[in-house]
Amino acid sequence: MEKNKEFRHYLIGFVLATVLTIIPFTLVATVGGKITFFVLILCAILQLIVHLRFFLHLAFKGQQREDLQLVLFTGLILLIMVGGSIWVLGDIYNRM
Amino acid sequence: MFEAIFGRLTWDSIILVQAVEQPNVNTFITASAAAMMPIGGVMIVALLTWMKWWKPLFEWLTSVDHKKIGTMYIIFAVIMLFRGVVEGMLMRANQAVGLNGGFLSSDHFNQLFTTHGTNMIFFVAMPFLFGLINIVVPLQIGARDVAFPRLNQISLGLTAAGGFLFMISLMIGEFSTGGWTGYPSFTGRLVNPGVGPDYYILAIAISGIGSTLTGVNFSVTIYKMRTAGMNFMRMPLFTWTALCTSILLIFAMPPLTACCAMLGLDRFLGFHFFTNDMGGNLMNFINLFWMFGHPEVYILVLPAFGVMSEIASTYSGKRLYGYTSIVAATMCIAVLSFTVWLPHFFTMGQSATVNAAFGVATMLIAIPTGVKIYDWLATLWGGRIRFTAPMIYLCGFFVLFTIGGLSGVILASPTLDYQLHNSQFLVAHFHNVIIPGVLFGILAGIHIWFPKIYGFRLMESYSRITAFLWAIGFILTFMPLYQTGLMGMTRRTVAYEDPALVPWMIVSGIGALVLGLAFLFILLTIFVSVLNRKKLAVPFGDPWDGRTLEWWTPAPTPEWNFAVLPKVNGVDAFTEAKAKGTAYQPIEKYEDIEMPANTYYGLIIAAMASGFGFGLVWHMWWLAIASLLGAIATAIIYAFLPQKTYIIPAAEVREIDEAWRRAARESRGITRDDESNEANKGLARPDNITNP
Amino acid sequence: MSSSTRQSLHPGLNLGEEHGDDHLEAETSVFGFWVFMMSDLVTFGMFFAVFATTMPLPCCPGPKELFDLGSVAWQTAFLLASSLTSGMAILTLKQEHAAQGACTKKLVFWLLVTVLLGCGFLYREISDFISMAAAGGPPTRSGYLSALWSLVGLHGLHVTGGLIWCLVIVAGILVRGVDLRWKLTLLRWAVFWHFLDVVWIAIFSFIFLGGLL
Repeated sequence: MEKNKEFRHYLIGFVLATVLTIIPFTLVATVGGKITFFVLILCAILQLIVHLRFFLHLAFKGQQREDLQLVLFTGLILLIMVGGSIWVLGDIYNRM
Repeated sequence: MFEAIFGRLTWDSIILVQAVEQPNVNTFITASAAAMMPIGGVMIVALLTWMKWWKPLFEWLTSVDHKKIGTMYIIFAVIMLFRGVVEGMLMRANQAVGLNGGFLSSDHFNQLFTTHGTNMIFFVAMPFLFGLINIVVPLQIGARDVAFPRLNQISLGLTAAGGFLFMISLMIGEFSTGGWTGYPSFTGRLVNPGVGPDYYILAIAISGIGSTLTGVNFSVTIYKMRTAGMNFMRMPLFTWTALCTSILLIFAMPPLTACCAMLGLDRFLGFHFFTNDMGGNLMNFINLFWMFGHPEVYILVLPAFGVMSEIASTYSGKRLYGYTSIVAATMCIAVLSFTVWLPHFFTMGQSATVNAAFGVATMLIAIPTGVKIYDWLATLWGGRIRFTAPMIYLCGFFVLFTIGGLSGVILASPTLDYQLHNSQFLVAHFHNVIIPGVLFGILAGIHIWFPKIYGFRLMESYSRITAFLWAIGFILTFMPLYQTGLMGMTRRTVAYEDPALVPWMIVSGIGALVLGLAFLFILLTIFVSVLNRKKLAVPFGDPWDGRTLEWWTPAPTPEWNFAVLPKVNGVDAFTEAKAKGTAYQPIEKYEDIEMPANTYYGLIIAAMASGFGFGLVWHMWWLAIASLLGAIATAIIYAFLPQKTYIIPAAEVREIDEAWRRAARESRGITRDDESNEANKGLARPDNITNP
Repeated sequence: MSSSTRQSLHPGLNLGEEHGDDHLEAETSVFGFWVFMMSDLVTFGMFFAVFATTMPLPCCPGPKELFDLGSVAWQTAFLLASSLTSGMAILTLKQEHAAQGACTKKLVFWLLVTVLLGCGFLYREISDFISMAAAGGPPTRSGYLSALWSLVGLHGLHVTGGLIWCLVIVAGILVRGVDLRWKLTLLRWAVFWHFLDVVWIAIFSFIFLGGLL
């Protein structure tokens, strides 16, 4: 039934998000180190996608173009602004 | 107890008291300026009472009609422009006699350049542009209003609240002395614990929130409310630039809000974002500020470019050349504008690699602008050109803005910028792009669309004189500053020691007088036009043989804009309809029109925001908290109140619309030869020599 | 999930055609709110950028002294669970309130559970702030702490706002019923609530977990 399908959608998202939360927490609490850092970033990005897909119902198909354009463009702007800031301020810091 | 109520506000905070206690040139000037406010206020109250205009006033203040809101933005901007021009004239006068010290104290001069910049950007240019966008865009896309009319009103209210804080600082307290860029740690708590920087932060943050909401409103309006058949590549250029401006507003205002909030936390709660010790880093402010500041200048100039597109096509009677390339160029400018914030602080210690990367990006961004200028020139080529006031502005723009843009490319080179940064060369550059770019676009836009809203043209002769005065005044005032900058004169300096600068400063001072005259001519133009409004009336609504949908309504435009929303098949739909002879054909079916009712929402938010800001500045915590809670309560209460609308019956719409169409069919109209004289009633007849 | 383009007029869960005109009205309102969310995200991004470029000082307490990983885990659990329950609320809205006058008990239930979980989140977060201050880590101590407190605090302020908003919606539904205006508000509120969890992912990953690495 359509209603069950919609409910399962949320549940799948919740389970995936929980798993993607437990992994980094456990790794940081026990192992630490550089690999954990990359796993952390990966899990964060994946969980972001899980939220956008399963909770916020964003998809590549089945919706208006401007809706996806909006989120992708924001992502680009955030990358430029946050990444650019880290680059610039890091560069200044290195020269101090 | 007084401290609990009045915070740090005392009698000495009021400039009129200061002028009595310490009479000198500075207090006299400031007190005279400040006195204009209560005196002007009394005069306005008297006028309103005598003419019985209170009810109409509140109809306007509670209106959610985009045309009225746009007009109020423009009136606000004109008033603030008066202050901004006076501030500029004072500074130029001081510099003209500024060898080894002028007549202003350094504290006064520092406040002047701070208020001048803050005022002109946030309370003159942006409100002017929001006003034009408000008036024109819904008409150009064939809509009845914006997507969120009440939010539109709230945006106006927040801008007004910021303006209120800015103006009240003239009378009570003082303004910041840190420039419109307000860098800490100079504006931090340690160096400047007074009210100045607090006024600055709150004025621009509060109006900044209003601007962000305007960006949201207009982007949704343009995305969702275009009339049938108007896909993106059929929109007029002014709407395209309004869309890109809205996108810039959405993404560029948050950095300003963020850095103002952080500076506020530093100042009010002793945080260490930008302090010199304890891990603070002022470069974070500078980085964030210019991440706002660079897109901001494109927010200012893009709508002006949109107006230039409209001028080029309308006043040469030709379709815009290279529509696709101009659209692409506008979008490139919008996106690239987010990548070039660093050149505003080349000298702040980055490595050559970082500087070079951003320098190259900045030079790249000049390319799409060049594409647009060539497209506009090509539009003019072979056209039926009329040298009306907007065309004077366009031609002035071609020459003068190009020079300003070129000086920008010079500054984009880090090596050259190390010599020129913060010199008068920089001052010359940004005035060179703002005045022939933004201001010319604004003034031209007002001339073009004024008849649409008020039903009569502005007097052509006066408008032309105004245009020439602005061009001449600009050249005299700011061109010498290129030279003085190259000679080593710094900006933001109350005095200088090199006698060789004096002749340039005097020329610049004379130019400032011309600019003052130019401003007066704006007021004079409007005044004379109002007196002659019957002769200048253009009731048919199309005084310039316009090409886009906004000209397809009577003038003044009725509140519902279009009796029946038009369907379009291409770019310049109105021109096409006129050519086919279907422009004023009768319509069979009229329907009732539902319009949103007036509301006090925006007015209340404006009052709350003003109270919040004033309370924080003066440490009147009860006022700040009460205003904040009041704003939240207002929002909650309005969520429960029914959103009222009112219906305009189809019969009424039919009567007005049919009369207009019938009269248009039965009248002859004029060719472009008669565009600037009395015969122009707003109906166009094709010239034989027009190129479609 | 509605997958045909006609059903999907705006990002997020759509009411669907059964809701008639309400579904059409939602397009502009919910899209507009997403646009506003994007600007809010950039504001958070700026606080992140400042945080990322501010180093902890050796003199003052830093992540290892101040962060309580267990508490952060609880906060994450509360917020994630509340995301699920808010989704349940919107599903209830979509599936059971196409016509006016349906029973609002289930909808109100899920909304109140969300509020409860949100309060749990706030309680833990405020306790953490208090113990951080007591351990010598107030925001006035260093630039790093200023950035930390303001970023996490900004998020907490948003959560507080979201909870108040939710309670206003509950009151509105009980007083006025689930009409067009409250449907649209609910759709917007749900987007807001989910984005708070999205921002929290970044906060717990890069500030708390990242800080402890």
